[in-house]
Amino acid sequence: MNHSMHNMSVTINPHAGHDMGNATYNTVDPHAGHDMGSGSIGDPHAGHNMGSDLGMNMNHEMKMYFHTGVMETILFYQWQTHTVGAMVGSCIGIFILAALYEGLKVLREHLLRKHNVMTRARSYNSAYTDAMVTETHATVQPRMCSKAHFIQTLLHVIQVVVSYFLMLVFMTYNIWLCLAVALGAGTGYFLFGWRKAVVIDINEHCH
Amino acid sequence: MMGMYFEFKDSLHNFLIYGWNTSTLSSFLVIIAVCFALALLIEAGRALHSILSHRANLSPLVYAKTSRNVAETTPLLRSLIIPTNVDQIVKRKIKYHIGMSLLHVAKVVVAYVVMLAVMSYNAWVFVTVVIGSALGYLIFGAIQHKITTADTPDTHVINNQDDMLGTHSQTSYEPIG
Repeated sequence: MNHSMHNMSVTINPHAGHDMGNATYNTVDPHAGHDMGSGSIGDPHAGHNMGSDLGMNMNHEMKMYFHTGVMETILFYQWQTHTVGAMVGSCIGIFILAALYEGLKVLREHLLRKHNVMTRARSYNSAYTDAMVTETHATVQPRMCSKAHFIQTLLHVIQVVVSYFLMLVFMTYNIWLCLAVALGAGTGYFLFGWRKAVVIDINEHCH
Repeated sequence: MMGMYFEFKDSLHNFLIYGWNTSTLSSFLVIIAVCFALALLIEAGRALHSILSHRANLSPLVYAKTSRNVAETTPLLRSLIIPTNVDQIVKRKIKYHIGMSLLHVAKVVVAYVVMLAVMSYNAWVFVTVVIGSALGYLIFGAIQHKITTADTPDTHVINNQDDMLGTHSQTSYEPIG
């Protein structure tokens, strides 16, 4: 009877695709957790099963291999795609997010360079106004409490968060979303890096 | 789903692609070799990016090519064969930028795939990726360092001129590779 119960739960369980792989473990212990949702000692997948039985993820379980599909839960419980249109919209959104991430990197580098130049210029000016001051500033250490450093820190936090979000999106293993991340990064790199790479700026160090 | 902890298993189940399982040790070793190659590829991509960015920013005096052997001509003669208009320089830079954008896409994909491989929580795969990254950095980092810090005679001349004019503007903040 226990075995029949086990078989029934395998067929009616919406997570069947995943459970097939675990069938070998569960046949050893017919009282395994995924029948009843209670903790089972011998099952190394107990933590995951409890979560699915508690209904925390009402969607299909995460397939840990590359797959195409339209049904996906992205980052948040409320962000679920059920139709092709929703998936296309999500891909476009992820594409833009990845492109903006590259832009953020370029912005940080630009701000850092601008701040360094300004600090150097300021230090040179101060040396000239004082008559024959002997101290020379070779490199000026950025101050911890300066406004520019504060902005850099803020942008760093945003960069870390966005990069982890992109990693988690890639972790859905959905090929369309992965493509959106990769192509968005490439497009963002191309667009935001254009000025520095192609435009010959006389204000920059001479070529 | 695998447990969320590292374990030393010598078998892999549904590794990255559906149905990619290992039943024998030799097929497991094949997957380990693939992970090792991917980790090497990450470092190779990084080094290649740095080399391309260095080449793209070379002064036209350095990369001017002629049918004759460049080293045999004098600097004066070589200065006559540089591109005479900015458009040529811009076109060359655009080509480098497109190439580097494609390289960026490849780097992003490989890096994420290696991240997913490590996420299989197989300790052997993790160790392989770490060793592959270290070896890759050793080999490709050395190559990159050799190419990007090559001291060609032309840059030497230009640097000396800058020193004499007092407008030595060598930057200490190199762009992040």
